[in-house]
Amino acid sequence: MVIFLVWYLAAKLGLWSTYVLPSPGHVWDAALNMLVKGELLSALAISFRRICIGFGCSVLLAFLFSFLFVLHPGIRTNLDGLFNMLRHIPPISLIPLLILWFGIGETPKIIVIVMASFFPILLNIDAGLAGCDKKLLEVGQVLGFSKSRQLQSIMLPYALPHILVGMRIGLGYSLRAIIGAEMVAAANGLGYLILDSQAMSRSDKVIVGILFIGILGLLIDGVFSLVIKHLVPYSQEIGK
Amino acid sequence: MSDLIINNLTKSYRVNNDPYPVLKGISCTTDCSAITVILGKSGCGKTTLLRLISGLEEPDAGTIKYPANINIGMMFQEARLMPWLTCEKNITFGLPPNYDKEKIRALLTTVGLTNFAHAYPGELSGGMQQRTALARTLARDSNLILMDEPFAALDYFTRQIMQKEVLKIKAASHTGIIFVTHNIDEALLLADRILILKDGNITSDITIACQGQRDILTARFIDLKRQILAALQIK
Repeated sequence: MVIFLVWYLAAKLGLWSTYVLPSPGHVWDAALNMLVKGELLSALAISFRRICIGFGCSVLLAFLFSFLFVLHPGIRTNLDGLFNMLRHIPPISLIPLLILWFGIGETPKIIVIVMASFFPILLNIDAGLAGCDKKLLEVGQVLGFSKSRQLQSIMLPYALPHILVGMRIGLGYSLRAIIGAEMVAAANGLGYLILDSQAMSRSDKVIVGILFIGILGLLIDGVFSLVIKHLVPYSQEIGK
Repeated sequence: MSDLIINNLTKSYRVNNDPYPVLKGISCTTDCSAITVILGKSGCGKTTLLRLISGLEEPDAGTIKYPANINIGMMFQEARLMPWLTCEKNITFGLPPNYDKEKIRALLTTVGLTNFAHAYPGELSGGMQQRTALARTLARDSNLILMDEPFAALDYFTRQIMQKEVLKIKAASHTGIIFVTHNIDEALLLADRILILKDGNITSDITIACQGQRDILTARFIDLKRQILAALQIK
């Protein structure tokens, strides 16, 4: 609210030109105009689709590797060094290479999202599974559970709060990564919309794009918080 | 059912990289249709012995010979319920999907949790959680139940209710129970046989032949208590 007030006053007093800082009213009008024209929603839909595909791939890969690590610890030992190196590489830095390999299509953007969101999801699933209460695992042992049954019936439900937190963080990273990727190598999407608006000297549209990214992030985060609250009402009990 | 035969069982743990012997060649034969209480002070190896019998740990040396067709159930010191499952789902945890629903309802009644079938462990008291754990063990039709100080964390009154429950189960099903405790009164109340564990060895073996309800304040049981205290060298 304070930021909005400062922005409103700064624009009203004409401290900067409207080219640099358009007034909130101006931005609101631009947002309505972009919504009516469908420009904003179409960019949003394109970015959201990319996030869904990339994030979905990350979740699948993270589960696959986590399960492999639990069931075959040797695989973890072999991949640990590679994964530790890869997770420190900023996904955006891969774009030039990805464009050379795959062109400017969807593949580089999806790979960038996977690179951004895979590791936080993997690390959280892994931490959740590794932190499973040994006493509960002993219950499974006494009941004659196999290792995969232990994983399915005890470790996974126990790790669910961790997993959902990892997915929440991964989704946030996906959003950041796709906007970056769309600014460098795209002809549509929210990132492209912002960059294109800047090229057209439309700072009002740039601000609309930025605000929409924030709102999208807020919505995604809110939905995830609700899912966590309803899906794992026992999360407070875990670790007691 | 025949006997469980333990032969020359030894087990050590590593403390500061040095071996710390807990069980030093224990041998005994246990009737798998009776209540055998393993009694001893804290740290004497009671729980280790039970964990070896359950298969949760491997002995350093020695053997355990199980009777044919044995189905072992175990109840721990803590309830160890799955926090994401309701009381009823915890009881049926690990059972095949076609489990006997009538039996589970009857078990809920036995342990007095019919009204809490859909409550989560976090909503249950310590006693209720332990009763759920007891029902979970009983749901499996085990013919030998290992109990590791299951009522140690309960208050006096709840413990009494649970002890009576154990006796009822034993009377109704002839299930064998190996019960670990450091509580002499509990041992006297429940046991057909008391094995006293001290310094990693069984030092006394007391058989209590007694039909019907026991009163541990009678002269006979007070004498037995003195005998146990002497065996534990507690004055």
